[in-house]
Amino acid sequence: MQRFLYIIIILTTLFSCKTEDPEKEYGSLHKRIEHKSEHYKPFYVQNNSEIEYDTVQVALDTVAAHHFGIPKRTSMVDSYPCNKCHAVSIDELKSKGGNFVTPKDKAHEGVTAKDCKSCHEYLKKSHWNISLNHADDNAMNCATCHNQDEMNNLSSLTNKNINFNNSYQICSQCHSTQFNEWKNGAHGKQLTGWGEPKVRQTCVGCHNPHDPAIKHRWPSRLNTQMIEQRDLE
Amino acid sequence: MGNNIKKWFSIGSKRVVNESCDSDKPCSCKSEKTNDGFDQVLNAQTDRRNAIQKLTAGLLIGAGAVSSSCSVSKSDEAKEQSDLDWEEYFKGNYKLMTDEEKQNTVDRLTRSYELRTGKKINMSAAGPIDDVLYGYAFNISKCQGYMDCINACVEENNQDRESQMQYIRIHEIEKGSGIEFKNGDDTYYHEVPAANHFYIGTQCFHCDNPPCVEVCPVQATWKEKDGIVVIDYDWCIGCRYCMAACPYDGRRFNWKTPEVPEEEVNKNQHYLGNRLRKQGVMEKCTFCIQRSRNGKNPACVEACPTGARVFGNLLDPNSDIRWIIENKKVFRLKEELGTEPKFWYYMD
Repeated sequence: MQRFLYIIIILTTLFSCKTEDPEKEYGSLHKRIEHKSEHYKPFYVQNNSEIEYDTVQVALDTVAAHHFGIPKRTSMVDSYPCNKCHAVSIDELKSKGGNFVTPKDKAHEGVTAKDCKSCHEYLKKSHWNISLNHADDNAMNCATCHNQDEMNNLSSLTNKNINFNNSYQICSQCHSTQFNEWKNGAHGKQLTGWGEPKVRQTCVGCHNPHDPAIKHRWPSRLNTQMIEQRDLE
Repeated sequence: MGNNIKKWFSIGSKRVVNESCDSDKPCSCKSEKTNDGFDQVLNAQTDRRNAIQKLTAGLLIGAGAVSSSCSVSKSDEAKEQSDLDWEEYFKGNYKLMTDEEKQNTVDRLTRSYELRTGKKINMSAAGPIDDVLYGYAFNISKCQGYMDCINACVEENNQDRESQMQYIRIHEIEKGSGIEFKNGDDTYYHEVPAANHFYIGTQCFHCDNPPCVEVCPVQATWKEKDGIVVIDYDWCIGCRYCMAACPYDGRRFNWKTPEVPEEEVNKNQHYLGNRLRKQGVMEKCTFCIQRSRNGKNPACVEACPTGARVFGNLLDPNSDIRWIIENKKVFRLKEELGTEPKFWYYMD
């Protein structure tokens, strides 16, 4: 009888210790994540979005490589390339009374008829309405980012050319903390999804470089029902 | 040993097995039945009272279906509709279905919708992707309370427009008063961000140890392999135990039949996700299962204008979400409960 009892106890212990759910054996979520990601294989998705992006690896940090694409900027800038209008430097323009095209240039040599709009549509409006609301006068003016002699590119603090597509390199000169978070994914936005290839919005995709602060506005919805119910209580 | 015992609901077999286990230890015996479809309902052992109840209910439905399918005056479409209704009525729990059965029920629902409205929808039964465990991070320094996420969620998930039942809530809380939701306001309507306030969003956190799943008496809700907690709307009996069990106010109940204007219905659907619901069933955030299982981000992540919402695969060591969890100061709500939510909050 006693032996029988022992056998029962041993059997019960054996069966109750057996865990059927393999996820439980890790003890905690973090341990499971750590263990299961050891043999991770990336999941690739087809890019169905209309975002045009560079798959060029963005890696300024040699320690950790950051493989993600960023959307192209030049196709979104009105009337790029800029030297279509900015044929001469700003200083020269000022000396000539502000006209882009000097009387001599009015011959329009080498310009075909379909190019007219490239200047004339923007001739009056242009982008004179831009006012700089970014840092203060001591830190920034137009020339901090633009070089009047090389309008097609942005200009770094040491006057090196930076392509408009890589404008994050301009921003990161001052905003190094944000840049570090952005390249790792804690700041900014994923564009195509969570799978590979990763595409991330650039700084200028959300922040207007001339007026970068996110604006106050009204919420996009009002929950009248919830207010009604709360007032009833 | 539990496989031979048959009950009306799959939970029945679990209860019987539990009794034979050591009550001090968490019971781990195999509890799910393998029957499905007609078998799950018809080939089950039951007592006389239940059998008579079920038979009566079945007969009532069946009589209606048979009368319309055999009727000479009914159109072919009406007959097909009642055939579909008949098969849908007797289908099993989605959780226990084979891939083929899942596809069949999705096809039936798609066809049924087409017969009713003349419009085609695209419903998926896609299963979890291997090596994927979804996680979510929310930056409380970045959220400005615009509520764009809520709008996107309502549209994406075909939520009822009139009752304003929403999966996401954005709470406006005064800085310095801690994260006390009772001091928060989620019906604010003024220019945001308000001075001296911060915004924190809540929704279903897809706990790794979900209490809502534990309490469901019919196993109509469960955790998928990729970590998403889902509901079979056709198996849910609307008892709202899960709603009471959820410590995060993550679940919603359909008090009325949800109404979505036909032109606003999102036709890209998933059986466990945003397909049109009925009255008296639970629903909640599914991390937009119809999108996330396609590699896309949930609608709220895509809509957020501030980048406060981050979604990703926790098993990908190079994912954004992993970097945030490992490098930022993160916290989760009510961690002491041991629910292990897969939803982290962080700050700049």
